[in-house]
Amino acid sequence: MSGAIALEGRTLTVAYGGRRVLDGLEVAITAGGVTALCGPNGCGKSTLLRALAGLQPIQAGSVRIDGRALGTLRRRERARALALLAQANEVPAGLTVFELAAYGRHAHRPLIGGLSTTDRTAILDALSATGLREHAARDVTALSGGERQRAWIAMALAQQCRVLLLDEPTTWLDVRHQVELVLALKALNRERGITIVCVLHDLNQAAALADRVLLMQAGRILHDGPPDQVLTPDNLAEVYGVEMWRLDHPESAAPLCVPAFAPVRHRSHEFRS
Amino acid sequence: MTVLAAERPTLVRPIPRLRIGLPIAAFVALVALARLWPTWHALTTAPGPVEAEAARFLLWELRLPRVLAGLAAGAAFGMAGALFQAVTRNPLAAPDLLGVTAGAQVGVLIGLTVPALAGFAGPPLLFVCGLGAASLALLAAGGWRAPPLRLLLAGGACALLLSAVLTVMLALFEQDIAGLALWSGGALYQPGADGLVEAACWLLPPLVALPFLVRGLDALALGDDAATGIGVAVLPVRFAGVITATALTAFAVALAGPIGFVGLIAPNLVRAAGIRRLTALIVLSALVGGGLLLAADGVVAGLGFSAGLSTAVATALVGTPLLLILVVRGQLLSPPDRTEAAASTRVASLAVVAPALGLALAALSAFGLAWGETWLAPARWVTAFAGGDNEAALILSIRGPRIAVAAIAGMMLAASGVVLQSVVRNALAGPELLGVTQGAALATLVGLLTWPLIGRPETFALALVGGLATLGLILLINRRRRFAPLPVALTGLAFSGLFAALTYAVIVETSAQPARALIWLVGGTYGRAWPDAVALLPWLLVSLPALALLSRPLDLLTLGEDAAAGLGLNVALLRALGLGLAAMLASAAVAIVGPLAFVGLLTPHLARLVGFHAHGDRLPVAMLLGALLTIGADILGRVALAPKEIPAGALTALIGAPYFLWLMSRGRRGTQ
Repeated sequence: MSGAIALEGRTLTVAYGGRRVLDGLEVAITAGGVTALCGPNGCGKSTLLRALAGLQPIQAGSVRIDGRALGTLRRRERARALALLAQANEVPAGLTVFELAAYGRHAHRPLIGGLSTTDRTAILDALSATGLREHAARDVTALSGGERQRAWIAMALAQQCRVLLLDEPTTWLDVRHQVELVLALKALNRERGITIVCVLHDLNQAAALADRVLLMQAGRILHDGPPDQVLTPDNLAEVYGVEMWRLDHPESAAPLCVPAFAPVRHRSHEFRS
Repeated sequence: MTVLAAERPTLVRPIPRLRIGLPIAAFVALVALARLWPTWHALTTAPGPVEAEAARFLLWELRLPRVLAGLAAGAAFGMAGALFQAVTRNPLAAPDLLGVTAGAQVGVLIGLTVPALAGFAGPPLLFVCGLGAASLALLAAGGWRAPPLRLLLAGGACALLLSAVLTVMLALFEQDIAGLALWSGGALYQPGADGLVEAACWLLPPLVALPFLVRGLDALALGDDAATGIGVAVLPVRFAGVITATALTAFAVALAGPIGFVGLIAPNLVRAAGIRRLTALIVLSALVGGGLLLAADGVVAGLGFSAGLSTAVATALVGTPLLLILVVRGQLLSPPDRTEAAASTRVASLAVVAPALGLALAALSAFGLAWGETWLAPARWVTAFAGGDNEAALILSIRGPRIAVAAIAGMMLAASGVVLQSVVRNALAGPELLGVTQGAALATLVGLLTWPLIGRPETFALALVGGLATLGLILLINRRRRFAPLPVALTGLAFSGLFAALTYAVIVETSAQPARALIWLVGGTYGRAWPDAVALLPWLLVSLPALALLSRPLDLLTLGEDAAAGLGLNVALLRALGLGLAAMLASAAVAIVGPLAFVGLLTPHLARLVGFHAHGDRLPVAMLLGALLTIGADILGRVALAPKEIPAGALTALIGAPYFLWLMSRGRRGTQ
């Protein structure tokens, strides 16, 4: 883990109406890596992701991308540097996959004028990378859940940025589409060197996808490291308050975490109200 | 189409932009030619030089400018509507709903009454005033970060406030601005060729700005976060969008008066034809808007109504059937429902608020009985009641029923508004918006004019028939679509526009004093007697158990249609029942007090802003607030400028709207 730092948050503090969701959090994302953000509901994962994307006003601290403060970047520069795929996306009716992906070119285009050849190449490239090339002319609303999620990723890819942030991209998908998406993200990371930061609820997905897991609780990162070191029964019990079994994947030896369905330990006092 | 596209991979879906655009353009050209043809014909076949000169003058100085003015104003309204709808992401947004048209109207009025400003009259003054209205709405909504729905609500309140200001000014300076009453119905301004060229200069800046804006505005459809993510400067784009749309509106109002319908209907017609992308939408909306206005103007001229049937009336006549056909054929795609989220903390529990409001109501009523040209101490009430004080008895018999009527009507309109907003799931719904109020008012007015001697029961029956018939039509048209919110709202808007315009036309045609009649239309409690209150009360009492029964199902409905149905609710039945109840309440109230604005639309939000969301709480609070507001308006209107009377309908908005705006801005600070 000695690569350059792509994205960095320093003493990040975010508060909603007086309640601190992130409290002086420090995080550094290695360039070219896949980082998974895990933790219980309300621990600040999505807030951290939004703060890293510059969408969340922060009370204190700073976000730096490739060593430059995110706040000093112009909006279009930022959009060329990183893309965020939000958790729930509105799909305007009557938009084709191609048109949706074309939105990703906004930061590359002059204010007036149609799509340039470069734009078209980038869009088609993004569609090919997400396996949507033959669906280019279809209505986004007519796609299946998995395809729709990939269409949004295509939009982010069309931005041609180095960092891709995703907020629970697999949550609404069935197993097949989950697997497809995880493989697609891995491929993007491997073949294009895109740095990926991904909020995930499924720990096994995190283990399969990421080379680094950040385990969060109550606005702080408690554990940080490769999946097999972070996803231990002790750490998980500490963060989630439930007993988990740790198995090894029979083929890849990646960690598999399975709840023991033992009675929940009462530790609610540790959560902020 | 999607299946075809999937088989034959093309990059851009074969949207039939040209196939739709060409017929529209052809239609517009045809209408324009039809308008010009008779004059052209007269010119070419003129028997002598004098006739030819007259015909030439008619063509070049009158007819052609009028056609061009109609085209330009309609196009500007259409584009402004498309822009406002994109900025607010609500297909019901339009310049008039956002208060911009009313602001521009105030601008005209200022131009007429303040001689020093006469030189600036026209688009610049209108633009400044329209922008003032838009800024007020924005300020109350919480600035540029305001979510679209808040913006719409604040705009609605501003529109009501400004039209109330207009009405009061009309009431006070009746003679000075008699012409405005005619103009405010909307009629094509005939400035001649020079004036048109001068006005056209004001169309240039917004047109030049448009191409720079379109792509950013288009991306807003993805949602603010996604738009920010791809590098769109959301706030500046919104800002520029509002400015541009306001400039377009100011231009259109200067040319044609406050014609409300075009801005709403033109973009929706285009969208129904399958056009979604903003560039195409704006261009085609301009064409459709211009065509609509021109056709309406042609109808006016062709039928020989010179003054009576204004262009606005004709626009509504032409536009309503179009919109209704689209609704019936199910071509209006609904956007995802978004329930309003005017988050707020509850000021106190219902057990505290309701009695407090009740006490306030009693106190205000007592004060209203006592206050007036003659102060009546409570002691004199007793003697009057015992028959010992004839003067006091007379005064009480005037003031008493007015207060009772105000209280009951206020409650009914508020309840109607709460139910409608929940059923339609649009925060802009209200009896005014569904056309129920206008339908009842039109029926009452026509009845009163046809049989001047009819009594109260007949008036009542007329209002109910009018309101319920409107509702029946709305339900009938939307039956197959299970009364889905957006089509219901659009149908209602179409009817409200049509009926309001017709009512206005009836007044202008039959009354020697349009300003007076216009004031009647605002609604009020002037001259209401005890039998009025007695007639109104049963309707309120009957509806109370129904409201209590509906309140829990309505709570479920706020979870969304699917969730509510999953919980075992018959959504279609609930919608029909709710709409029926709301229409009945509103019609009965209109029968007695006329189309009182504001109460039904905004008291539900007042109740929500003070923290009551569940219908069991929200209904009583909104009703008490409605009664308070109406009584307060009645007292003030009676006393403020005595012996002149300010109609209560204008005052409900004058009192209620600023309070509402203040609450909105305060609530925002509280939640952030």
